[in-house]
Amino acid sequence: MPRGDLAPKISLAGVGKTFVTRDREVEALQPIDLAILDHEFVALVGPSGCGKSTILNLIAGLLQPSGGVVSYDGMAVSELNRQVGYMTQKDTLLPWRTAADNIRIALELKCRAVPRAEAAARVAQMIDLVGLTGFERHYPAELSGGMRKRVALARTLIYEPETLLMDEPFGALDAQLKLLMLDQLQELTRQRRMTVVFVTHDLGEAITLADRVVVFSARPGRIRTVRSVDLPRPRDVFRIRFTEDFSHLHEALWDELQDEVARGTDV
Amino acid sequence: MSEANYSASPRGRGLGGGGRGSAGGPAPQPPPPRGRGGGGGRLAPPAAPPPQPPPARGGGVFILVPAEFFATRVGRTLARLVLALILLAMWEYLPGADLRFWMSGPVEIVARLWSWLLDGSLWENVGATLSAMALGYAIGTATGIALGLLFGLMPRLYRVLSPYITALYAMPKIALAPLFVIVFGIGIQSKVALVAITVFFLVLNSTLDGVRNVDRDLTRALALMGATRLEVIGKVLVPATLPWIFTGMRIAVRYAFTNTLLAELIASNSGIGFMIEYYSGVFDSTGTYAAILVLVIMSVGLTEVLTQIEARMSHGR
Repeated sequence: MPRGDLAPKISLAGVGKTFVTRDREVEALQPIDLAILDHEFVALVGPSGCGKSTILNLIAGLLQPSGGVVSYDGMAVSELNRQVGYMTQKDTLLPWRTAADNIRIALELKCRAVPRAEAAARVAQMIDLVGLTGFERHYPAELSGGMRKRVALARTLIYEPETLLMDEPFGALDAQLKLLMLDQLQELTRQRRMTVVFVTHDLGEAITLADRVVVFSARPGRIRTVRSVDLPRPRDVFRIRFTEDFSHLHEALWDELQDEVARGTDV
Repeated sequence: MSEANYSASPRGRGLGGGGRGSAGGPAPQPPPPRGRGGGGGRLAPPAAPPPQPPPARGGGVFILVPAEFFATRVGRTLARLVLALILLAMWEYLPGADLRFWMSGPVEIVARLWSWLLDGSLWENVGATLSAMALGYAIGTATGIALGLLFGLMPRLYRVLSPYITALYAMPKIALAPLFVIVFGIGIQSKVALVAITVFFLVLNSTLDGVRNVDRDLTRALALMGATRLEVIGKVLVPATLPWIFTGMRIAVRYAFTNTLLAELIASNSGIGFMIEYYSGVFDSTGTYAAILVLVIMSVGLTEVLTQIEARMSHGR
């Protein structure tokens, strides 16, 4: 439903990526076309190694495509794309900063320059949001994998980037916590009208959150199918998976995904 | 030849003395009886069972008693003191008149130290050594960190210069000491120069290693958030490199100390190294040993300070 304006926020036109390792070329991504609208929540699903993370890296400007054009707001992405908040698969927390100091870091930068008191308030709010109260002063090494993910999430959300790129942000969380996080993420991204590109292994997670689900084939990555999720918003992340519409979608998409997962694991 | 004879005889006698001390010592020597008494008391219960006594008495006591006693703090300290006293006593009383000339003796050495204390020459020379070391260390560290960060941030510049840096790093810096004496004279400058250049390369290299080992994902994450280049340096590169810089600085302290000394031994007009060089030059063994003793105390002090700082730092982390 919340499709926003029709000019695409992000567009990939004939974008492919081939990595050259020593004497071998590995095609991570076959040329694909994909347009993501303003305020849209798009989930990318597919087996491991199908180039989902590569797409996020391309949008963030961390990689340049081997062919085709990635554009953001109609401009080709030729260097680091500072409009996006990128939560990578590996948490890139600074080990010498506490959880709270890690979360605050974006607010310390000159391009934002948030007053101290306001920054403290926003950090506290974020810590509460991701359920890390009591761990503000812990260093990343003292936190569990799931907690570090939540710190990374809070660090990305706190500066409210207009576009969020998320690479399996909730992989390390237990099922209950994951649902809580999904709920918060939906709430925040809706409130702040963010554009989200969300990579996940979990089809249920994708359907729960996304406006569109893009299913990728096994390596080399291609788009196998794109499905709109026309479930009404706001969605009840705790119960939506028991609705009939959800199961139909899940079944249809799982049929597509299943073959690819099987092929992916053969490799 | 005669030296070899002399050195052999005290050693032989020393062993005999030790044996005597343990066999009939209890009455004349106070420290060992205390030690043995304490250990004996503790050992009494295990020795009590009838089948044990013969091995426990026949020499076994001598081996077993200390083994347990030395595990306690008091026992260890006591043993160390006794050992020191024995060695000092041997040094004081065993050498004959001609050996004395080369070996001096503890009493004379302490007397000499005392006189240095009174006439102020001790502090003057300790001060000269420490200030040369500190100054050279400060200069070497500051330039090493600065250039290390610079090269780390400008890898292309570094690639151009790296063969020279590697060559200079590999060269034993002590070879430059005579050159520095020619250029700077025998005052503090030549010592400072030698220390600074040694420290510089150590710190430069560890800083460079540190910068190169910074996780690029961390710097990229910050850049994506909109950090300027300067912010990335200040918030990621420098803090991530700090442990490496500290490692370099820590290692460099010892090199700084050694090289100050070497510079003083080669040519200088003050410092502990100069004292050693001077007194041995005039065949004054008492003065030489006294200066070496000062050096030992300084080294221990330095090690202690370093250990404290490291402990403090690892707590902070």
